[in-house]
Amino acid sequence: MSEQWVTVTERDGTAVVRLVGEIDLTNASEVGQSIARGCGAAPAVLIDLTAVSFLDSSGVRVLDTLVGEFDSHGVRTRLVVGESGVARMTLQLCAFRDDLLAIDVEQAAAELRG
Amino acid sequence: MPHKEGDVPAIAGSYGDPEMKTTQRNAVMITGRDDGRPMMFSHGFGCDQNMWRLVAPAFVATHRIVLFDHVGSGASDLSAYDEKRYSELRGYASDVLEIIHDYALRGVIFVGHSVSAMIGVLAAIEEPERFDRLVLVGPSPCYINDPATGYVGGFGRSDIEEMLDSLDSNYLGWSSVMAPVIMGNPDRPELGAELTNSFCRTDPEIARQFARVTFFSDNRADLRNLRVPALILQCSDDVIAPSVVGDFVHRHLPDSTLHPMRATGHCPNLSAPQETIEAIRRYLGDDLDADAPWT
Amino acid sequence: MSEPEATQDLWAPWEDDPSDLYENAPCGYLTTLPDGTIVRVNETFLSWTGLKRSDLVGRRRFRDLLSTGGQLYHETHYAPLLAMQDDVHEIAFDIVRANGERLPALVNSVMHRDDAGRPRVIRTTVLNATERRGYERELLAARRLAEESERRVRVLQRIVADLAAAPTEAEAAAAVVRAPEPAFGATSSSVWLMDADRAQLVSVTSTDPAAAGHDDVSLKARHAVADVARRGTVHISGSVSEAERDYPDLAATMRRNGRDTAVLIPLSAVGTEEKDGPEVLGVLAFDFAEERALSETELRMAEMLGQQAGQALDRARLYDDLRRSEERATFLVSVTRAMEETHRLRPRSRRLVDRLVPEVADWAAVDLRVGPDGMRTEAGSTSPDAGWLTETIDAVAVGGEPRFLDTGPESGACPDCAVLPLTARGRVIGTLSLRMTPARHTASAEAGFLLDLADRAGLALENARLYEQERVIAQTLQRSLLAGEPPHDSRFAVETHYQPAGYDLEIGGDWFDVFLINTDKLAVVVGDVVGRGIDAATTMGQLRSAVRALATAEAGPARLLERLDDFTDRVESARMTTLAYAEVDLGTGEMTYACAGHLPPLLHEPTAPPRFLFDGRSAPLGSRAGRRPRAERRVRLVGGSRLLLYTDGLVERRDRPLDASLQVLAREYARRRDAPLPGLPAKLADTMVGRGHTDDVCLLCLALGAEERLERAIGADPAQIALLRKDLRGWLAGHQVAEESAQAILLAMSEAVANSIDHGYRDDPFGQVEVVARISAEAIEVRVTDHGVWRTPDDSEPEGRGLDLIRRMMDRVTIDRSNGTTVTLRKDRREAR
Repeated sequence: MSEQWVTVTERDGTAVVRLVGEIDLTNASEVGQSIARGCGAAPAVLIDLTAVSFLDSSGVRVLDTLVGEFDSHGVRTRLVVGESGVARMTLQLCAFRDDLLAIDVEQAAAELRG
Repeated sequence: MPHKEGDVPAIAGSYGDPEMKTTQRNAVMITGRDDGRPMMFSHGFGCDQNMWRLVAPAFVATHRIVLFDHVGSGASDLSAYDEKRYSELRGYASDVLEIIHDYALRGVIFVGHSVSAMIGVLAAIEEPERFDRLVLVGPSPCYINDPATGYVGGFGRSDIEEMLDSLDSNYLGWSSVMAPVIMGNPDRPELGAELTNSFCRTDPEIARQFARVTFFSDNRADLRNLRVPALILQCSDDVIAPSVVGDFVHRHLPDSTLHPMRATGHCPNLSAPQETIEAIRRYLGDDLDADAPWT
Repeated sequence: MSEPEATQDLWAPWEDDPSDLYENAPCGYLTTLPDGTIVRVNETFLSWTGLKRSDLVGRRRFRDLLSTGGQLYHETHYAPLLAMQDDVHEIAFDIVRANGERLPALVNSVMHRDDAGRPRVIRTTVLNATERRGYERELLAARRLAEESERRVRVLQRIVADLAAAPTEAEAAAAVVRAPEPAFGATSSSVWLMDADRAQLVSVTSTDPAAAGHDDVSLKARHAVADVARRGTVHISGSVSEAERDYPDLAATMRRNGRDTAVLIPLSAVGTEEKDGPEVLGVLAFDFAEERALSETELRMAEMLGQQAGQALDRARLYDDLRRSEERATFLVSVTRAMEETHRLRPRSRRLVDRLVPEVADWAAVDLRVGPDGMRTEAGSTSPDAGWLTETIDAVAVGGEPRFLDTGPESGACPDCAVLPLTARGRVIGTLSLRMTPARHTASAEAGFLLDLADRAGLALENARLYEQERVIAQTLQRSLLAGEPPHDSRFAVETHYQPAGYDLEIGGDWFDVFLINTDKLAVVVGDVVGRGIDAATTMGQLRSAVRALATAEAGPARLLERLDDFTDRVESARMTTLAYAEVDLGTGEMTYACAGHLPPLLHEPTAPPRFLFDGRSAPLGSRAGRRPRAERRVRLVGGSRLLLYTDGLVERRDRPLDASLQVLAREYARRRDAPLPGLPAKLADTMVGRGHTDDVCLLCLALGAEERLERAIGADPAQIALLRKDLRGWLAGHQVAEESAQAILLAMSEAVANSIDHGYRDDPFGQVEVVARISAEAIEVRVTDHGVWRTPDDSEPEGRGLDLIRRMMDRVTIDRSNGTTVTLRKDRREAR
C-alpha cells in the first residue's frame, strides 16, 4: 500500500528512500514503517523528500523519530530537501539539524560516503 | 387434362439476381431488354405471375420485364410471410419498392391487376420519382359498398364472408389434403397432387388473410395523392370491379386515362390479352422509341 | 384382354340414344362460350335448378348462376385457371336455384380451342354434391374446430413458454393474464396473487382498463376470488343471475362492466402432496360479454393454464426469495458501509433511516438511549400510532425482545410495524422502529433480515456513541483548558480564537494561553500537539499546565523550552509538540520569545509593515533530529504593537505553499491594522481558512498598550454595569486620563447604560447595550447604544432618570433616536491642554 509514497533502493551500501506525494496524519506512521523496513541494517540512509508535496506535523514527527533511531544505531542519515520547497521549509521551521539536510541526492550520497 | 405447353407463349425469362433479398422472397423474374425501360407486372389476388404469360411477352423486345409473386402466392418464400406486415396493402407496396430498390429500377411502368392496381398506387405515392406510369387493370379502391357516402363497391360484407367460405371449400391447398378423402380415393394421392399443381396454389391461411386484406381495404382517400399518370383498364361486365368503380377511380386520380374494354370479366390479361396489350401500347405510345433515360 | 370385349357385350344398343344420354345424364351439362355465355344446357341441370332453358341460353353466363361469393371465387380463381390450364376440376360452387335455394355442386370444366389455339367453347359438368358437400361442410367444420383448438393449444403453448421464462411473479401474472382472450375469446381477464403474509389476494394486473383498480380481497372474505383461492377449484358464473345467487359483489361487477359470464380459476402449484391440497398462489378471472358455456375441453385447458401459472408462480417465488436474500445481503453491506462513512452518532443514525426509507420501510426511526431525553432520528411520513410506539419502544428497550405487528384486525393503527432492539456488547442501546413498505413482505416474514440489520446497526451506532463520548470528553477538556479568562490589565489586551476542525473530525491538540508570571511580566503561548483525539487533548492539557508551572520571571523562554524537553522525555505523546512562547515586560515593553519548531509569530508595529519573527528558533519539543540547544530572541515593542501567534491550521494548505500562505496572512493582517482587536482573530481565521477546514485553528493576538478604542456589549442586566465600569476604568487609566475626568465618565456611562436598560429594554430582558469608548488628543467620547423602543415618559423626567446629572458632568451630550437610541457623551481632555 505504501509503495505509492515510499520506494527504497540501494546505492553503494546506502539505502536511498524516495518519498512522493502528501505525508500527513493519515499515512505518516505507515510511511515511517515502510522506511524502517526498507532500510534494514543499511549503514547509511538517504531520504529524498524533494517530491513530497505536503508534509504535516505527523510527518515531521515520523522523520524525527527515524533520524533519532538511525542516530542511536550509528546510521548516518541525510534528508534531501532541495534548495527550497515544502520539505525544506517545514524542516527548517522545525529546526532540523543543518547537518541532516542536503540539497541534492548526489551531494548527500557523497557526504555519506565521505 | 395437363396443360398444353405449346398453346400459350411461355415467358422466356430467368429468376433475378439470387443475391437480392427480394429475389427469393418474391420469386423475381427478369427478362426482356437489359437497356429497356422497366415494366413491372404485379398479379392480383388468386393467382401468381403466370397471370401475365399472355401479356408480358409482347413487351419483351422493347422493355426490361420484371415479374414477381406476392409473398404467399406462387413461388414466393412462404416463410417470409409476416402476418403483421401483410395485414395491410402497404406491406405489399413496401415489397414492390424493395424490389425496385434491389434492382435499382427507375422510370418504372407498373402494370397491376386487381388488388395490385392499388398496391401500385400506394407504392407510387410513397416514391413517385421511381415511377413513370401506372397501368391499373380492374382497379378498385374499396370493394365494400359504403351507404354513408353513396359509394358502390359492389359487395356487402356478407358477400366477402361467403367468398371466404368458398375459399375454404375450394382451396386447392386445402384440397391437397382433403381431395383424396372427398373423392373417396385416399390411395390415389396423385389426384390431389394434380389439383394442387396449379397456378393458384397458395397456403390457405395466407390466402384467407390476403383475401381479407384485399376485400376489406379502403384506399379511396389515397387516390388523390397519386402524382404519377395512370391508365385504367376497365372491362365490361366485371363483377369484381364494376365500371362505376372504374369511373370513381378515374374521377379521383389526379392524372388518369380511363380505357373501357370490350373484354368481359375481371381478367382481360387472360381472356383478352391482345386487347390488353394494344391498350397498354397505345397508352405508352411514342415512349417505346424514346431515349432511355432509365438505363 | 377379354374383359373390355365383355364390357362391350354388356352395352345395350336400345339405350344408346346420345341425345337422351346428354339430356338425362346423371350430371348437369353446360356448354358456354369463352366469356361464359351459356349456349347449351341439359335437362338434368334444368331439373336440379328449376331454371328454364329459355332464360339461360344466350342470356346468362355460367358465372351469373353462382352465389356472389361464388362469383368472386369464379373470377379470381376459376376463370384464370381455366384460361391457363384449359381444364379445372372439382370446384365447389353453390348454384342459385330458381327459387333462391342453393344447389351445392362440384364443377369440372374443359376449354376447347380452335386450330389456331383460340378459345372456342367451354364444356362444364355439374355434379349434384348436396350430400357430399354436407359431408364436406362437416369436415370443414371439424377442421375449423380442430384448427381453432390447435390455435388455442398454440396460444396456450406460447403462454406456457412465457410462463416458464417468467422470472418474477409479476411477469408470470402478466403472461397468464394474456391467455384467456386468445384462448377462449374472453372479453377481459384479471389476476390476483396470494399474499400469504397478509392473508389477502392482491389485484396485480388486468387486461381491461375499465376494470383496473380491482380491489385486493381478504382471504377470509365471502368473495368469489377468495372462495376460489380457499377451495382451489374453478368457479363459473354462467350468467349474472347465477352470480347473483353465489356472489352478489361478483354480480355487481359483472353488471357494471357489462359481462354475462365470469370464470375464476385457481393458480395452484401441483405436487405439494404433504399439504392438504395444492397450494393456491393466485386466481385468474376472465369474463365474457355474452353468456358463454365452456366446453369440457376448454375447462380442462383453463385448469391446465391455472396449474402452469401456479408452477410458474411457485418457481418465481423461489427465485424471488433467492434474489431477495441476495438483495438483503447487499443491502446490509451497503447500509453498514454508509453508516461507517460518518463517525458521529446523529449522522450515523440519519444514514441508517435514510437507507431504510423507502427501500425497506415507509417509515423508520432510531431511538437511542443517550442524554437525558434520548435521541430520535426518523425518516418517512406514515409514523405509527404514537401511544403504541412509545409503549412498544419502552417494552423492547427493557426486555430486549423484538416486536412485530402484522396486518390484521389486532394490528389496528399500526399495521406492518416492527420494533427491534439495538444491542451492542450485550446492552440495549436503543431501538429501531419500522413500518414496512406494502411492496415487501410483512415485518414478521422479514424477521431474520430485520434482526440481522438491527444487529449491525446496533454495533455501528454503539461505536458512534463511543466516538461521540470520546469527542465530547475531548472537547470538554479542551474547552475547559482554553476557556480561562485572560487577565484584565489596562497595559495590554488579548484576543483569542479557537476554531475546531470541520464537521465530524476529531479535535486536535492546539492550544493557547495567556498568563501573568508576575505583576509586570506577561506570558503568551500558542502550541500544537501532534495527532488528534482524546490523547492529543490530554497531552495538550498537560503541556499547558507544564508551561504555566515552569515559566519563571528569571528563566526566560529558552530555559523554559529546555525544561519542557525534560518533561517531554517522560511524556512520549508530547514529543514533537511545537510552540511559540513570548514573555513581555509590561513596564519596559521588552519581549523575549522562542519558537520550538513552531510557525513564526507575526509582529505588527505601529510604524512598520508586519514582519515574521523567524529568530529564536529551535526544534520541536523532544526532537531527536532537531537542534536541541534552545534559542531565544529579544525585541523591544512600542505601545500599539500587535503580536499574532497561531497554529499551522491557519496557513497550512495543500494547494498553496507555506511561504505563500504566510505572505497572505501578513497582507490580511496589515489590512486590519486599524480594526478593533475584539473579533480580529476570528476574522483572520475566516479569511484564511473559511469553512470546511480540515484542521484546528488557534490564534492569539496580543496588543500592547491600551486599545485605541474600547468596545463592549452587555446584556440588559444592571448587574453587568459593574463589569463594564471595571473595563472602562482600566482603559481610562491606560490612557492616563485624569482621575477626576475618569470618575465623571464612569458615572455618566453608568447612568446612560442604566437608562437604556430601564427604558429601552423594559420589556426585553435579552436586549443588548453596546458601549464604545474612543480617545483623541482633545477628548474622550463614549457612545451608549440600545436597540429598544423607549417608552414615552409620563412624568417630569422626559428623557430618563439621571440625564440632568449626565449633562452636568459631560461637556457635550447628544441623543440620536433614529435607530434605537444612541447617547453620545463627550468629555474634553482639559489636562492635556
